[in-house]
Amino acid sequence: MILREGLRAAWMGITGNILRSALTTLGIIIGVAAVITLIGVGQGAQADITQEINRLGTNSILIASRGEYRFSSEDADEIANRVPTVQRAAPVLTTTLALRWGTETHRANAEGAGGSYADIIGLEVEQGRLFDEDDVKNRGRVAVIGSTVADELFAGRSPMGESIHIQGQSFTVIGIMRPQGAAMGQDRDNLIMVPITTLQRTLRTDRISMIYAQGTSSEDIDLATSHIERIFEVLTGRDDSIAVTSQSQILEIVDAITGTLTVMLGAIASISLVVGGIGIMNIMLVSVKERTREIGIRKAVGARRRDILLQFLIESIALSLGGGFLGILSGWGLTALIRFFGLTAIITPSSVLLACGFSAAVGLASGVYPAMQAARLDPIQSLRYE
Amino acid sequence: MCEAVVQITDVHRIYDTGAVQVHALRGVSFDIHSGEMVAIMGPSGSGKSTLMHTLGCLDRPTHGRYLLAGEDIADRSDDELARLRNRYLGFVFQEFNLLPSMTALDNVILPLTYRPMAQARRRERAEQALEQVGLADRMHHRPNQLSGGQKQRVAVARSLATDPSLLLADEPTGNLDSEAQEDLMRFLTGLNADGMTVVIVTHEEDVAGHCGRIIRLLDGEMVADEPAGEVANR
Repeated sequence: MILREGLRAAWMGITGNILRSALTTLGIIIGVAAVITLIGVGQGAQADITQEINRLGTNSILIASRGEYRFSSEDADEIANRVPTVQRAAPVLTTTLALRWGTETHRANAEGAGGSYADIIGLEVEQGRLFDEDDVKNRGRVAVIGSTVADELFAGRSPMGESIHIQGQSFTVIGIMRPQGAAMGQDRDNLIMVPITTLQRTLRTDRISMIYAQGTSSEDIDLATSHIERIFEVLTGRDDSIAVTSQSQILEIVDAITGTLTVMLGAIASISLVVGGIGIMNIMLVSVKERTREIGIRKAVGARRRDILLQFLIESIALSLGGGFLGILSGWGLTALIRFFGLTAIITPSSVLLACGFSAAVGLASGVYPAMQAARLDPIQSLRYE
Repeated sequence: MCEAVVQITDVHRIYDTGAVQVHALRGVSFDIHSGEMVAIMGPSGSGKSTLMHTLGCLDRPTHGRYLLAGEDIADRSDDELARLRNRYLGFVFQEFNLLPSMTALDNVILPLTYRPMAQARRRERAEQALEQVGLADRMHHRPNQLSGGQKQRVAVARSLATDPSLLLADEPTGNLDSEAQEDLMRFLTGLNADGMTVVIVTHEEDVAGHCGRIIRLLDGEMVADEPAGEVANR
C-alpha cells in the first residue's frame, strides 16, 4: 500500500507538469534511441561482413608470403598434391590494369587465377563460362569480367565474344560474373579475371600473390593449416616465410573487430543517456524544492522518510523508464529508416534489454540524491516553506 | 477518571543558532486530559508555536519530558515520531495545508495511506469524515473549488479520519471570515462535546472563549493556566 501511494504520488508529480516531464524525458528518449540505433548499425555491419566471408566457404584457406619468399604456381600444385586434407589449391596474381575496348578505357582490378580458383571461392557466371584448367595450361587469351567492367567498357552492348586489350594483348570475353555487390567499401564487380599463366606472361613475371586452398572439410581445416605451414618451413628453413589464414580465423578476427566497433558505438551513445540522467536529476531537485510544502504535509500526517524517498524514486524511475520505452520505439523507427536507405541495422533483444536496464539504472541513480534530500526535509521548515 | 492525553513536565526548547541560544520554552509543565478543550495563547515570540510543534511531535524538547497518550517521545527516531503523529494526532493549520492537486476525498485519505489498511476501508473512513464535517457533496472538488471555510472543514475531516487522541489546531480561524470562524468553532466545540480532546493555538480571545481552559505563555514561560470562564468574568 505504501508502494501504491508512492506510485500515485509519482504519477501526480509527473502529470502535474506535463511539458516539463516530457522535455526531461526527451533526454532519455534520445539517449536510448541512439544506443539502440548505433548498436543496431554495428551489429548490422557485423552480420554483413560475416555473411560476405561465409559466402567464400568456411573451409577455404588463404596462403600469403610474408615478404622475402617468392611464391610460384608450383607451390599451389605442391600443396594440392602433398596435403591430403586439401581438396584443391589455386595460385592467384592480383593487380590493377588499364583495359581498352575500341576507344573506351577503364581501370579495373585484375586477377590471374588457376583453374580451380573460381570453384574454391564459389564464383559463378551469369553469362558464358569460366575458364578451365586447359585455358590455364595453354595460356588462353580469355577473360571473365565483372558487371561494372561490362557496364563501363561496353555501355549496354553485349561484351560476349568481344576483345579487350590489356597492355597490347587482346583477350576474348567468354563470361560475365554474377554481381557480388560491394564488400568493405570495395566494388567487387570492377574485376577482370584471366588465366594466371597468361597474366604472368603479359606482365613478364612468374610471381604469384597468394594461394587459395580448399580443405576437404571444415573440421580438418586446422590440420590442413599446420600441414601447409610445415611444408614451407622445411622448404625455406624458416617458420615465418608464409602466413596461412583459414576462413574461420578471419571470421574470428572480423567478429572481434566489429564487436569492438559495436561496443564503442554503444558506449558513445550511452554518454547521451548519462546526460539525460543528469537532466532527470536536475528536474527532480526542482521538483523536490517546489513540493517542499507537500512533503511537509505528508510528513505531518505520518509519512516516514522511506515513504517520501520511495515517492520521489518512483517518480524519477518512471520518467526514465517511460523515456526508455519511447526511446526503444524511436530507435526501432530509426533502424527501419536506415534499412530503408539500404544499410543493414539490426535490433536485437539484448540491445533492447540493455537499453531498458540502463534507463532504469539511470533513473534510479539520478533519483537517489533528490529523493534523499526530500526524505531528510524537516517537517516544520517544510510546512512554513512558501 | 480521565486519563492524561498529554503530560508535559519541565519542557525546555533551546534553538542553537550558533551565535546566540534562543530559549523558546523555559520549563513548561501541564497535563491535558482526555475530553478537554484547551486554548494556548500568547503574543508572538511567546513560544506558543514551539509548544505546538512539540505537542505535535514535529519537534523534540531540549530538556524535559513529554508523554503523548502515555508514550515517551524522547529518543524517538524521525520515523517513530511520524508513526506517533499518524496514530495519535490530527492537525488543522491556519493555511489549511491541503494538497492542491488532490480532491477533497483524496486529501482526507492521505493520512490513512500511511497506515496498513485496505484501500476500500480507507475510502469508506474518509467519506465518513467528510460527511461528519458536512461536505459529502464536495468530496470530488479540488481545494481551489472550495471556500476558505470549506477548505478548513476538509482539513478537519483529514485530521478526524485517523480517529486521533488529540486534535491540534494552529490558528485554525486565522484565514477565515467571521461567519466561517463561528461555524468552525461551533463544530470543534461539538466534537469536544462528543469526547474529542482539542488543543487550539490562537491569539484571539473569542476563539479561546469557546475552550474550557486557557494556557497563557509569555517569553517561553507559562504565566497562567485557568478555566476560560474567568476570562469572561474579567
